Formats: sequence, C-alpha cells, structure tokens
Amino acid sequence: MTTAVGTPLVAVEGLGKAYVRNTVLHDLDLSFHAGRVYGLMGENGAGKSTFANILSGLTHADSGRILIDGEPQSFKAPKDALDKGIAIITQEQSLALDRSCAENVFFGQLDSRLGFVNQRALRRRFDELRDEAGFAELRADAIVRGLSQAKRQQVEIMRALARDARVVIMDEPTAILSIAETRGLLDLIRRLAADGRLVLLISHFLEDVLAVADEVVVLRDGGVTFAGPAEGQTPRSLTRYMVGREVEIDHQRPAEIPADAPVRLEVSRLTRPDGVGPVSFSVRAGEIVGLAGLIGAGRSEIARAVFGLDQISGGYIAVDGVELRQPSPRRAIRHGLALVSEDRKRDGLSLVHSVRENSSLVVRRTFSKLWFRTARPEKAAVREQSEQMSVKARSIEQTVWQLSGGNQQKVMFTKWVMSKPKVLIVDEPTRGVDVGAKAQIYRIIQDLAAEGIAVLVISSEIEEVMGLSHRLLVMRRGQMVREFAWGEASRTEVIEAAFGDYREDKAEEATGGK
Amino acid sequence: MGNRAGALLRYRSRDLGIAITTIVLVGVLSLSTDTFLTPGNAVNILDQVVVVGIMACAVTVPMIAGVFDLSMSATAALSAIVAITVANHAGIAAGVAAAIAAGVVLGLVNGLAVTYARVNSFIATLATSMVFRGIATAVTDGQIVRADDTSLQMLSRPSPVAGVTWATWVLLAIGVVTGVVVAKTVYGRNLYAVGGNESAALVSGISVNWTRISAFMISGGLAAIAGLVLASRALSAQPSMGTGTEFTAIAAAVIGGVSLMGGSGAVWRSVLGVILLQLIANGFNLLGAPTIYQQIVQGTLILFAVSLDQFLRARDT
Repeated sequence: MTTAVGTPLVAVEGLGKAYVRNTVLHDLDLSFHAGRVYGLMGENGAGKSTFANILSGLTHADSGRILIDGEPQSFKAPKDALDKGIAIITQEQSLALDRSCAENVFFGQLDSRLGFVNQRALRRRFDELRDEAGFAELRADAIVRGLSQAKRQQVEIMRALARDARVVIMDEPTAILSIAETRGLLDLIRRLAADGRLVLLISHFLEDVLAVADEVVVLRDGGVTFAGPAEGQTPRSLTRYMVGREVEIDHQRPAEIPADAPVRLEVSRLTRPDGVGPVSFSVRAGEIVGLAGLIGAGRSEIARAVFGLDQISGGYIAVDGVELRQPSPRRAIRHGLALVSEDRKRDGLSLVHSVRENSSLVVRRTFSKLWFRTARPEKAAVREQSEQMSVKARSIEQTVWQLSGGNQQKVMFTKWVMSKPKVLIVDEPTRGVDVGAKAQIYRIIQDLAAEGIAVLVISSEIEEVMGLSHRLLVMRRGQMVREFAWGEASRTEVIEAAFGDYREDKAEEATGGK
Repeated sequence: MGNRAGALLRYRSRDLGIAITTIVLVGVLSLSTDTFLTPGNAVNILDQVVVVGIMACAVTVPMIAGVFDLSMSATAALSAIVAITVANHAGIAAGVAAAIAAGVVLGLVNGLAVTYARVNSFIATLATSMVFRGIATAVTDGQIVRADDTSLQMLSRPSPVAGVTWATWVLLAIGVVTGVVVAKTVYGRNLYAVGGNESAALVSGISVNWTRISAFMISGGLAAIAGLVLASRALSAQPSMGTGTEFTAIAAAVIGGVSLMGGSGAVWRSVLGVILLQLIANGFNLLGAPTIYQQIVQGTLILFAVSLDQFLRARDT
C-alpha cells in the first residue's frame, strides 16, 4: 500500500452539525485522496449519512468547511456538489420510474436536435458508458420500473459516471444485493478507484468494506474513532471502534430441545403459482429453524405464503396439528402465527404512529370492551412488553420514525410477541440494525424459543442463521436443497449449497460444447 | 433543556395550533367589533356551519383511512331528493330513513370502486359524484322537488336550549358520535392503522378493504344527513344543490390537521376548522371589509395548514 501524498481531493475541517435534539457531528477533520476507496463505518446514528449528505450538498454543516482540491466550497444544494464532481448514490433511489434507463442516466444532458431528443445518439452514449461500467445486461430503452433493485442501482451508478463524478459516495449499496451482485459491485468500485476516482463506501457489512477499501474511517457518536489504512483491520477490530467495546457475537450452541417436543408448524408440499416449491418442513416447539439461500431463492416467498400474504397453489400448512385452510393474515394470526417481516418500513410498522399504537395493533381487540378501547390496560401491557424487549424510546407515545433501526425492529418483536404466538416467523431480523442491537435481537429470539415458540428465521447473513438455528435449511431456486444441524456445516458449505446451481450451470457450460 | 416542553409542543402542535388560532380570532373579533359577541351572531354562525360541519366530520373518517370522498355533495343532493320523494308518499320518518340508507348505499358504491375495482379514491369519487348527480337529474328531470310536509323545516328553527337551531344540535350530535367512534373504538384504531401504513395493517390482520368500504359508507350516510339539513332550509331538493361543499369540508379538515396522507386527524379539529373558516367570513362581514379578500385569507390559511403538516411529518435524522 502506498501512502497518499499531495493535496487531498476532498477534505473537511472542523465540520460540525447539530439537530434540534442532539449533536450529530462534531469537529470532523478528514481528508480523502483521489484514486482510493474509503470505507465509512459506524453504528446507526453515528453520523455517517449526515456526513455524506453534507458532502453531497443535501444538508448544510453548522460549522467547519469543505475543501475540494484545497479550495473551500459552499454547497447550497446538491447541484453545487455535482458541479464539483461529487455524486451520491443513496439508499432511497431517486429515479424516474417510468422513463428509460438512458433517459435517467442522461437527464439534464440529453442529446437534442431542434429541441427533440435524439434517441440514437442517446443510445450510443449509453452503450459506451455501460460497457465501460461493465453492466452488460442493462438496456438503454428498458423502463426503470421493470428493473430489479440491483439493476436500478446500476442505473444510478451510471448516472454518476455520466456526470463525470470524481467523487462517488455510496450509502449502503450492498444491502439490497445478493452475494453475486455484491461481488460485481465491489469489482466496479475497484475499477472506479483505479481510474482515479475517489469512492466513499458507507456500509454495515464489514466484510464488504474490508474486501475493497484502502482506508477506513470509523465514526462513533459524531466523532472519528479510527481513520487509517484498512490493512491489518478485522471485522472484530472495526466493531470495537464502532461500539467502543468488543461485542461478542459468538454464537453458542442453542439450548437443547426436549426429545418429546411436539411439532408446532408443519408445512407439506407447499407450492406457489410463481414456481416456488414444493417445499416441506416442520418446526418443533422450542426449535429455531433457519432458512438460508440467495436473494430470490424463495425464502421470503415461503414465509409470505405460510402467513397468507401471497397465494398458494397447493400444499398443507398446520399449526399444532390444526390445518390452516385458505391462508390469510387474519386466519394465520388466529391460528397462532406471527410474522416479523423483512422490510419494516414497507409492511412492518406505521412510522407516523407511536410505539404504543404499533405494538398493540395485532392484539387491539384484547384491549377493548364492547368495541370501545380500554387505554389503561393497553398502556400497561405495552410498557411492560417494551421493557422486556428493551425498546429505547422517550416514552411509549414517541413516534416510531424517531427511533433507530434497532429499536424499530424491537418494536416489531414487541408487536408480535404481544399476540402470544405459537409460531414466529422472522424475516431478516437484523437488517439495518447496529451491532449492539443485533446481540439483543438474537437474545430475544432465543428467549422466545425457550418459551416453547417454534421459530423460523430467514436471513441473508449466513453467520446469523448458522449461529441461531438448531437446524439450517438451504434453499436454491425455490427448493430445499440441503439441511444441516447446528455446527455441522461451515460457512463455505452453506454458500456452496446456496450457489450450487450456479456452479453446476458453469460446469455444464464448460463441458457442454464438447 | 426544554426538551420535554419541546416534545410536548411537537406532539400537541396540531391540537394547539387550531385551538389557539380559533381563540385568538374570537378575541380579536370581540374586541374590534360590537356586533361579534352577541347571542344573535353566535346562533347565526353556529347555524351556518352545520352543512359543511357535518361533511367535515364525514370526510375525516375516510381521510384518516387514507382515502378521499369527493362525492359528498352529490350524495347529499341525491339522498335529499330520495328523502323528499319518499316523505311525500310515506311520511317524514320514512323519508329520513330512506335518505340515510341511500347515502350509505352510495358510500358502498364508492368503497367498492376504491377497493375491489382499485381506482384511486380521488378519481373514483370524482367520477361517482358525476354519476350520482346525473342520476339525480334523471329522476327529477332537473326540476326542484318540493316537500308536502313542512315538519322538516323544524331543523332551521331555534331550539329551546340557548336559542340555537335544531340543526346545530344535529351537528353537535354527529360530531360527538363520529369523534368517539374515531378516537375511542377499535374500529377507529383500524382506520388510523390503514391510513398510516396499509401493508402493515394487512399483515397485522386488519381487513384493509372492509375498513375503507365502511369508512365510505359512514361518510355517505353523514352526507345524506347534510343533504337533509340543506333540504330543510327551502323545503325542497334539486340535483345541483350543495355543489362543491365537500371541497370546503376537506379544506376545513386539513386546516384542522387531518393529514392528506392518512393516518392522522381528529373530528373535533375538523369541526373547529369549519368554524375557523366561518369566523373569517363573519369577521369580514362585520368589519365591512371587501369580501374579495376573504377568499385570499382562507386560501392562504389552507396552504399554511398543509405546509405545517409537511413540517410535522418531515423526518430529522
């Protein structure tokens, strides 16, 4: 690794920012050099996104200054930052969904002839840029709405390239990507840096950052706790900088299940109209069963079908031996099922409502007499349950969007635990959750299983499902392909089982011609 | 420091905003005119707000559930025509019952269009309002329908209590009942949940479609009562009556802090919004100011209220 010399491309001096309630950044001094990849890490609320937003002109700093090539800047709007070559690719994508890829990439700089868009020139430029970026599958005239999240992200990246961005900031780009897609993105990031660009990668995924970053910056509570070469750092050392202590997420052998524990959830030959299945499995009382696999392998689809959110085309679902016919969420809940869904903003929580309103939503009828709500028992019950789940909120009347990701996730658990479920399905329990809260959520899941609840855990983090589950089921292309007992498989074996298909295809390709 | 007070202010800002504005306006008008703070003027204002007030109560229900009802005045007109036609044949009680039943059925039509036919509520109810008014014109031949029985007129007469009209009591009763249903019942909770996040409500076992359909049935039924009050004024009904009233009602609800995005709002604040708009009109009258400026003030107030709603929703991360 070479040490950077010369004027940094981007530098900040004494950068500070405070919102009404709390200070988000204080007195940051950092410099970033062209041609390198910087990983920016920290727990939720550490100030990463605020820092990125200030650099890209989305918000303003209260104090300090930003230097580009040594010259102080004042960014009043994202456009000012863009003009200086700083582009940001955020978690919330900003694309015109009903326009084509090419138009999205070149918005504001469309080729025109007499005021009309010159489609042919547009397409040529798009194709050139696409080949440069290596997004072979993107078509110039494809409408963005029909693209997957990963493809949409590629469009955003191309837009940054089209603007000749010298600085590319990516906020959690790999969160929505599968393993293979992540690999592709990391390759691209390396190429961007090799071309002399500066890449600032903000991510929760320590492995991703370590795989690609030259330098690492760790923020905690708005200050820098580490800034230096990535070489020599490990996930554990970075975690220590992020949380200020060493967090052990050393998964221990899950508690023994009694030999006579009854089957609580039984799923037999479940099939979906979209081709997922047939899938059969069962979960016993007190057991945690993990579902691993690539995104799109059908894990969440199975969960949604069992819970009655999506149609099924055949199969048998039973809870404690009672068949769940024509599943719908209402019926599923009545049978004792609970679903902590993968995207809490989409179908988990009502963000504009309070912790109390969200927590007691499933059991709303319990707290009523003759249709009328009974506020006092409701408050008491929510308060007690939130405490058990260690939800950190000012009060149970605080609006959910003001909480951190980890606390929102705990509110989701509170909501479903209040329904006293027999079977709990948990989809991506720790997505967008910081390290400290992760350990707490694992504890919650284990405690619930210990109470005799059958738990089905779905996660893209392989260590997570491997560590939590008594049994791990691996899915690939809508089918269950392998089953491992706890401690039986290595991470590589699980990944191989999940990827197997892909490798077989490759093998077929290699031998097919002969 | 001041965090707790700040949080309370934030949490209660919708309640406080509308209440304080109303109180200030009452104070200003009382001091600047001799005529404002008289029983006669108060009775007058309270009678004038009845029709829009009932519609504001009505529209608050679907709005909390995240959908609009733009067909209320058409529903009111058609229901009033049904009321008078039935009353002329079978008596006033049957007429009133028939009107409310008609309103509920028209609400059901709206609900089905929005849920099962999956039409955006804005367009769906705009379209049904044309249909409803068209039906009203067809059945009446565009003529005014007159009531034989004059007992309906009682609504516009003063009641023995405090001299306010019977219609005012109808508004009060509707306000209290709707307010309690929305704020205190499990059903009300479902309305907020569906408006706050439709998908989350579905996952939580709430029937989103039924919640919205029933919300439209409530607004339809209440719109019919507003139609009855309108009909009582002239003892007649006609297809074009009340045109556009729902827009004032929605504006009032928004001034009262009902969110256009669904998931928040309170009936009493919507009613206060109506009273606020009426106070402005009344003030212009009493002060002898040119009425053209009245619309400017009212319009500005609506912009301000919606902008405030956006600020309250804006996240600070």
